[in-house]
Amino acid sequence: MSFSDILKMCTDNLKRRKGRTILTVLGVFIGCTSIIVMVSIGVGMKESQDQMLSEMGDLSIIEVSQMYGDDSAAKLDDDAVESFRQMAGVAAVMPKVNFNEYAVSLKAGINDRYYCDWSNVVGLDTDAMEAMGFEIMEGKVPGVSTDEAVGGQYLAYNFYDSLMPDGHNMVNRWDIYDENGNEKELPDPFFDILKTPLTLEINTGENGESVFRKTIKITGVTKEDYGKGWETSEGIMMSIDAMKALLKDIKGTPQKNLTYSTILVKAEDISLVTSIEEEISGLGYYTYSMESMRESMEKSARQVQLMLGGLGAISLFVAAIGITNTMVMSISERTREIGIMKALGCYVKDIRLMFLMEAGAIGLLGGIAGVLFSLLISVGINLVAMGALSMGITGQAILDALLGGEGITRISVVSPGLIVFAIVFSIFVGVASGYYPANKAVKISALEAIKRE
Amino acid sequence: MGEILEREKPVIQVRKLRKEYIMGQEKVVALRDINLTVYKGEICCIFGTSGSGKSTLLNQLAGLEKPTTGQVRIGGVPVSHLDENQLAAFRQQHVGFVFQSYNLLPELTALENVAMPLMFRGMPKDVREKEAMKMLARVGLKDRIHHFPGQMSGGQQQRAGIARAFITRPDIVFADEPTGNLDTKTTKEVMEMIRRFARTFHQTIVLVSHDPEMTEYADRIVTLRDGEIISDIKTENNN
Repeated sequence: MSFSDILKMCTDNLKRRKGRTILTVLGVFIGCTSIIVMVSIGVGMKESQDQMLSEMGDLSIIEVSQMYGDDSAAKLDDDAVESFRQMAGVAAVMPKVNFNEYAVSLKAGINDRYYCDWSNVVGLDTDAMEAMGFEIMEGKVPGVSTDEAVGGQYLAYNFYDSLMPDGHNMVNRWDIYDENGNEKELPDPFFDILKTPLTLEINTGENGESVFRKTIKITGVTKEDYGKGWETSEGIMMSIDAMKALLKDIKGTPQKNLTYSTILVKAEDISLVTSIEEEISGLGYYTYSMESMRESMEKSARQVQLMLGGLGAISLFVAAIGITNTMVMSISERTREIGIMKALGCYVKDIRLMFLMEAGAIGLLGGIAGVLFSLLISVGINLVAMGALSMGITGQAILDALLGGEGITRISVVSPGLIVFAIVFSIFVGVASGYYPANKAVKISALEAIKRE
Repeated sequence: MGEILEREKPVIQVRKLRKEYIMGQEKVVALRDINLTVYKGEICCIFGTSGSGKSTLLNQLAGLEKPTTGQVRIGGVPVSHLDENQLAAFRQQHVGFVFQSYNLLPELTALENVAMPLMFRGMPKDVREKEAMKMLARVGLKDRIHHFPGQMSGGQQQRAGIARAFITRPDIVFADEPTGNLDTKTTKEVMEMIRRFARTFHQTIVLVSHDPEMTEYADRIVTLRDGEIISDIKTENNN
């Protein structure tokens, strides 16, 4: 028999028993829909996690620090910096010195009008800033002068105005929504940090009596990126040389072999992070990266996905039993027909194919219907999550809910891959459920044609 | 002269054919070591009462059932020893069936039913339906081609059944009580039609019946009783 003839016989049979076909397809449809919706929620979880992480910082950076509580552990010195630099796949290395031996407060303006009680000051390799991906929003990287530094994006907002009463003495940088909940322009800080020299007040004594003052100039402002350190948000970053000079001024002795607090290593690509991280930790250092965090989060998201998908799979399994049942019934009704066809010389393989295709077609129909319906559900969920119900459902909102986009958090994500998988899987479930009935049909004897009722 | 020689060529050869059934605890012998040869172009009627084993014999001859012992050869091919696939191919090429209850598929039109054996061969739809159209015209159903079996009388259905049996130009047509459900007048029509086809294409017909009237149309009457051939007579109907 030609393929088109077999196909026609299948569709004729499905059409002949419309009610039963529809009910069986309905089973597959429900199973397929629940799998897609469940998995899409799992994928949506992962998508929002990824979005959150990438907002938090650069995923390709590894933070290396010394093993805690072990003085004999590998030191973070210039040799370490050099050895990291030699590793394959490393784009840049940046040593960093924390200045947390001393408490630092900041003063600015005439008569120290503006003050900041606490600030995070670090020394780092300013030459490596660009290669590390530090984004200078305004100004430039400090030069060789030891009196220059860059500030974090929100450094200026940390200052209080000593001339104003409580409640009006600071600019709230979190105050970014108006009364209607819409985002508004961030208010300017009290002063322009690039034009105002800052005074570091470093408390060197036991009880705060002894204070060392140093005035620096902020030459640039970095964009906040937690992957590169908290100081990119609110701290002050100076060159290693500037830090050394500062320590010398405070302590009175030159600082020779400085041990770094941390070393940042940037991988050429996110995919290399894990292997570089392994290599570094193999040398006896403690490492941390957003990537390793992302991996563990991804792992748990995958587990949730599997669990949700498994719930959907149960209903598809029930649907598969439905298909088998329908096919067995249909075959027992058509016993005589099958016998006649065999007596007239129909090949066994054609009969088998006919029934497998019938079952596969039920799966396909259920799969297509399931995909369409779950897209509808997915868009619905996302519209609700995006708050589009109150803001009005526009074409753009529907498109965003379906395809996502910059800054759009979708709860349910239906990828093209998921759609293809769902349809292929539904066909597979259909064919697999048809396997037993088809074999039953094949075993029907041609003698059935001769039997008399 | 050629006619006579053709008639002497054996088409079906049955050797020591035995069929036993197990019914509950008992063993029933349906056929007891049958030997039979049917020649080309013969219209052979296997005659017997219900339970005589005539239907069992037909099933064996057509390869619908495997014998307990013995062998059936059709044109030299041991049909009793073919597998399912070989049997299907063999039926497509050499065998046609006419059934008592017509056995047309209810969801297919007369045209589709008649074309079905050609469909199993993989013949394209337009070619086979053209062929089926010719056959239907031959059996006088030209104006019934798009009717479903349920819309036709018994006689019309059996004529469609005959068209289906002969459409592949088979060597042998097996007819199982072909007139069992028909009245006398239609019986005559149907049997004459079968005989006409058989004579035109030198086909062999094996007919199973319990109706003595069938003997009128047969060249040879093989009578069975309790699974044994009790008589084998050539008739004078040589037209």
